[in-house]
Amino acid sequence: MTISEHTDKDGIVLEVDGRVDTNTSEQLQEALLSALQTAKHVRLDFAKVPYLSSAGLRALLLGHKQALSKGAVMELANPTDFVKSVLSSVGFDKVLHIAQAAR
Amino acid sequence: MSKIFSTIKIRVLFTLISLSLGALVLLSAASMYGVLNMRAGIIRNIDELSSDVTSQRADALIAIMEYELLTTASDKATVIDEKFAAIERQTIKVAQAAARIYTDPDKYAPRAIDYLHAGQENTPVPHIRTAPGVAFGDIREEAFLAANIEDVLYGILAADISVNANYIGAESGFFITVDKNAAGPENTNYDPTSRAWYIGAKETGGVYWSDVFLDSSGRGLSLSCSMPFFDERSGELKGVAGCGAMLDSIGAIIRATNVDREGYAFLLNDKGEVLISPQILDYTTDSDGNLSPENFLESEDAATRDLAERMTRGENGVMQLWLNGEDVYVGYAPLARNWSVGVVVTQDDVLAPVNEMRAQILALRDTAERNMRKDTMTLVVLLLVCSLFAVAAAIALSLRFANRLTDPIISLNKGVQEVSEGNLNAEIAVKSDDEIGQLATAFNAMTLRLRDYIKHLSEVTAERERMAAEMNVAQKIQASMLPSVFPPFPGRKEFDLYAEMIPAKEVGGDFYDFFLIDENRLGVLIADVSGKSVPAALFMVIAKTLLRNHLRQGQSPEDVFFVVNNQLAENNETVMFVTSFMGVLEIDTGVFTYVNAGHAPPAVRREDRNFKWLDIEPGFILGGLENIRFNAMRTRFFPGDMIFLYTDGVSEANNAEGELFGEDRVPDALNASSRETASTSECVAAMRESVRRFADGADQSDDITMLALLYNGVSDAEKLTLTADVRALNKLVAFLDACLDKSGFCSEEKYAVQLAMEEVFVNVARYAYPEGGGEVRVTCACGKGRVVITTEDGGKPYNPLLREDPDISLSAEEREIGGLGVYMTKGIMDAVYYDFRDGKNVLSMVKNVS
Repeated sequence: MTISEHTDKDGIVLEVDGRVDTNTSEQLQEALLSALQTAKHVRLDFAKVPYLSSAGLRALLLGHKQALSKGAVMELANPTDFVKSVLSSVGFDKVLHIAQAAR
Repeated sequence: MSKIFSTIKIRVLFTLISLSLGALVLLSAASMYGVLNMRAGIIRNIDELSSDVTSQRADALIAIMEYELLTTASDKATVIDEKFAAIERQTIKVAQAAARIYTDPDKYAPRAIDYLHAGQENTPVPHIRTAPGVAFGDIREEAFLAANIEDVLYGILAADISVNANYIGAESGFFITVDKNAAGPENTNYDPTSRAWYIGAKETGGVYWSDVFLDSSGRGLSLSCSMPFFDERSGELKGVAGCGAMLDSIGAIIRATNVDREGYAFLLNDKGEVLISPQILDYTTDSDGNLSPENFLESEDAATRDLAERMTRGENGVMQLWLNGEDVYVGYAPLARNWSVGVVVTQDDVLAPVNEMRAQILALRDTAERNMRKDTMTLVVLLLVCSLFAVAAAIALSLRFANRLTDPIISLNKGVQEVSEGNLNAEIAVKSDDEIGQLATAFNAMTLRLRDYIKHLSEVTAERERMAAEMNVAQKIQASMLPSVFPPFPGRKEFDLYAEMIPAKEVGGDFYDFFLIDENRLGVLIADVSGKSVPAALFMVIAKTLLRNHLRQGQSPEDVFFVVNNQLAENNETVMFVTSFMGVLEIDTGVFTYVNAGHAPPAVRREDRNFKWLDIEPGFILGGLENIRFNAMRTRFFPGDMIFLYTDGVSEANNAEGELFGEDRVPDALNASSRETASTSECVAAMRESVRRFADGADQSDDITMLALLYNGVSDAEKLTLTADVRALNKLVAFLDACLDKSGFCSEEKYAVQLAMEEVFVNVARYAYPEGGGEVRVTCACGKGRVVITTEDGGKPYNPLLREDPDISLSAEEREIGGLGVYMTKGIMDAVYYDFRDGKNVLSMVKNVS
């Protein structure tokens, strides 16, 4: 998994490429938390994330909680079908800000 | 020939023939013995008679003979003595005449007698002979005087025939004699004084008998008696007068003696010499010309010597002795001068009549014996011929008797055999009134009754057979309804199944069934219909059909029971019911879902390799009441586990004492008699054998039905062993991807499975091995549209399924970090099972394609 970070008009955009699982979620978590240190809006682009496990969910929830505590926004963009199904299976679709790209 | 013929007939024949032959032999033997005995007796009697008669006769003969001998001897002695006395008298007469002449010579004129001329034979003349050296002239005067004796001499010679010659010898040496036999002038010189007769008389001075001597003229044995004469005036011896006698005259007497045929006499003188005897034909002389007769006193034989002594002693008597090689009797009597006469007769001679008689008797006896022998032979031949006839007659009669005795038996036997071969119409034609006839009549009556009975019986049997045949068909149909080919699914290595039903005598209500509901599900059931016989069988068919059909449709076991129970209970007026146990095995997971309707609990062999009761709810019977709910239970089998189903035919098998086998014995028997690795058929066989041993020949009262199912697990699963470390996750993911290739899952489904796998793996890594370093074994059995993933780890027991589900309706603020993995897994997978088995946490997840 790789994460590329760039900024856009709202804040930081983290483009994640690859599986987010137990081994990679920490990397995501670090990138997310560090981005939230600086930006009020962190956008996670999951268009290239085919797979997400509970470890990833944990990173996402941690990031979400961090954003909430700082008054920032963590947005999950372009989740794949599988990721969407994972998110919905645990009710994260109702918790996280999910932005569906208008492609 | 029938057996009867060959035994009874032969036996009767044999007995009869033996009896008659035995009697015959005894009779013959007795006859022979009697005849032979009689013959021997007769011979013995003849012998005794002969012996008695001959010995008596012999005694008598001997007595007579002895008397005769004595008499004869005495007679002879008297006669001979008289002869000798006569000679002696003549001698005395001559001597007296000579004495007169010499005493008174003057009265006598000289007589010139021929000198030397002896005269012709038989015309003797007196003549004078002189001694040698004596001249005739010198003695002429005396000789011519002495010649006056001539007349005396003549007279005596003429008067006494026994006197042969008489003579006088003068002392002066001349000799005047008249001799009957003197022939010619041969002996011119003769000296009388030198002769024994002269010397003997001269010495004796009286009568002198000379010894027997051979006559000088060679005329035989002679004897002389001599006596001296004197000149009575002077007393001077003038000469000796003598008479010579040939012993022939006495010998004639002796020889004339004839006692019996061979008897003879002999004369013995005082010296023991045998003078006359028929044996003496020629007299032997010694060198001096003297006689040398045999002397009995000098005999070597003591008896002969004894005889001679008695005779010379002048005794008389009879004596028996051996003489001249013969057994003889000798009678003896004395003569004068101790001579003796012996009369001899041989014993043979004496006993000749006896011997003759004996010979005659013996001849008679021999003849009698020969005749008797001939008669005996004739008798034997006769007996033999008679015996032959008797034997022939006995055999013929025996044969006839045996036939008469056995013919009815043979007919009876024939009839009996005919009947025994099945011909009940056979009638025995024995008309006799004896026991055999009665037996035949009784047998005929029995046959008749048997015929009636069999007729009746065949009707009844036909009916019964028809029913039995129908029951048999029913039983066969029933049996054919039970799958009986083992192994039933040769292609399926995941499990092994064996079942059998040993029906009791009657058609019963036990049944079992098993079938694949689909590729991954095996349905098994065992049931026991209440009651027996046809109703039970019918009910069994219905129950089995319903259960099978409903289960095949894929319904859950509890639903199947519910539906089938209602169907069976409906209109169940006979109130029949079924106890049943049904289970469905999910083959790839080993999950066994089961439901029980009043049936005995199955036994299960698990990891500890001992059969134990399966945990069940008793459940209500099928067909008893409608609308009964049944609760399904679930367990999980691992490779090597076995379940053993049975009916009460096993647990209620009883032995001869009426004791029940009992349910408790079931797991014990299985454990005791089956190896840990025993196959299903071995377990069933062990159980069957255990029950058989227990029953020990007692009748089987109920069907015995058993079904054993062994779970082997999936064999073609992919396996991977990993370190329980999250860093191994990628490897696991790669393994899983490869496994899922043939699953036909879409990518999302694959991700979902990956997700579940990851969650489970991470759980193990975190919770089972908090210290790290443990191993996880992952098995992935993937078929089309279905995957079963199992993880096993040796960490501390941990059942993630017991973890409470998170509340997913909470807001982000309320949410806890983590705790979602297991929840998601359960959501993703169609089924998740946790077991702690063999010291391992075993978690299996099943995912079907959607």
